[in-house]
Amino acid sequence: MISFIWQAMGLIALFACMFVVSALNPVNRLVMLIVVYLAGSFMYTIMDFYFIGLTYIIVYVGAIAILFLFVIMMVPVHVDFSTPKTNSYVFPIMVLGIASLALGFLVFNSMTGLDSGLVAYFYPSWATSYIAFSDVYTLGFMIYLAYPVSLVLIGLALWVTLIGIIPLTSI
Amino acid sequence: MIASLIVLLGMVLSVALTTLAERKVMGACQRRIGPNKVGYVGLLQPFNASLLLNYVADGIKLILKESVLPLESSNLLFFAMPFFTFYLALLNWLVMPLDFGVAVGELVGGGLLVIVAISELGIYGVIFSGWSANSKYPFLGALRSTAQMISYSVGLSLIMLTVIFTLGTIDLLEVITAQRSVAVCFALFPMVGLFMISAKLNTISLTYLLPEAESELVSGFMTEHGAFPFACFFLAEYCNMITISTLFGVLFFGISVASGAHIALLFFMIWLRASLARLRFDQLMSAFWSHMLPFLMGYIMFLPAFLYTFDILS
Repeated sequence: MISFIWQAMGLIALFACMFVVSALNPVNRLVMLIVVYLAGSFMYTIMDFYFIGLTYIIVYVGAIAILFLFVIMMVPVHVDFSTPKTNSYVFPIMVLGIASLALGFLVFNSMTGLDSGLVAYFYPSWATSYIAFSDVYTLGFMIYLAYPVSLVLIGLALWVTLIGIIPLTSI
Repeated sequence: MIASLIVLLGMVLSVALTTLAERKVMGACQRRIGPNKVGYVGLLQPFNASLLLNYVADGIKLILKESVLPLESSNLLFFAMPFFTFYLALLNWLVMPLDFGVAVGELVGGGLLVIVAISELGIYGVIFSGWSANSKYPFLGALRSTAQMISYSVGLSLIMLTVIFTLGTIDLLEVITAQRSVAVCFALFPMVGLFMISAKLNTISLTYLLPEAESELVSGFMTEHGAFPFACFFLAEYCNMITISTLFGVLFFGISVASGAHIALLFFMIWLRASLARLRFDQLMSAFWSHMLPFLMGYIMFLPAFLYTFDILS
């Protein structure tokens, strides 16, 4: 049940991410961004990282997203519906596509049990590590020891967003 | 499940009675009787069945009224946000301790963080309901109320931090337990005063003074909301008032609703509302950012040093 809820939250976060990119109204995009944050915090909370989950809400939802909202709501944004020049999108979309395909492949493999997939290093019982270490330690171990491949792929996606902003805004 | 239902129903009921208490106290402050026609005139009036019926009737009236949807509003947000606000206001009560060692639920390691997170989320109810109405005054009112709530919730969080420093726990039940011998209000006396002020200003419960501001804004962020959505905002605000008053008792006195601790701050809020003129909005903001916040930051720097010194000396 817990893992089902966890996966459902992941799916919600994924679809909300798509809406963030595809919604036409900037404020609706931000609503979806908040949904992404909330789903992320919920996933942390389900994994018993209460501190990180709640800090997610307090910092990202309570402070940063509100800041975005203020800016977006008060500045008149004119949405341009005309067809953008496609070649400025090609590079970001290509890299994002490759990264997400690889990530999806890994997730699929690990879910079907064909392969260990995402997990590079498996600590026999994460449950005992909660007792030995704090939330932040455990999370650090999971990210850097157990799931380094996905970390690199997500880093790639982040890098694309950083570079992608340049061609997107220079239309 | 049953426990939470009982607590939440009690909460809604006490919200209804709080509205009555507010009207009676305001009446007393202004040297008039206040509402006295519905029930039997007397001290026991709030407990009068027919009066309760009247409040139920008020609720039914609001539910049965037609909900008007402004043209070209963002429908989903417009309808969802009042319920979201009310839901969040009630959600506090699932982690709020009711008495020494008694709570509906407890997130070990969550505690005060849950309450801060919920109050941060509550801001969205205000800003989106104002924006989604697609009308100027609700929008301006929403921005204003949001700015106010953000400011003073920063203040509240910092004040809670001082309590956390002093008691060394964020668990609400442990906060109460730690104060069995002596309440922390004596050690943190300046924070008690600041908490009272920012509690008053963080809940938008200057109910209908600053957020509603009839003279500048028509009716604040809920101008376009009528009928049941409006009732939800109304209930949520009073619910937040009770929550923050209870939190005051829990944080500084180690007592909770079971001791009737929240009545004092609730009365103080209503008293302030009845007796003081409201601040201009820029005065309100500068009062926080250039007076209260520097003091709080200084106090937070000072407090750990103070506590550490005591630890060395003992």
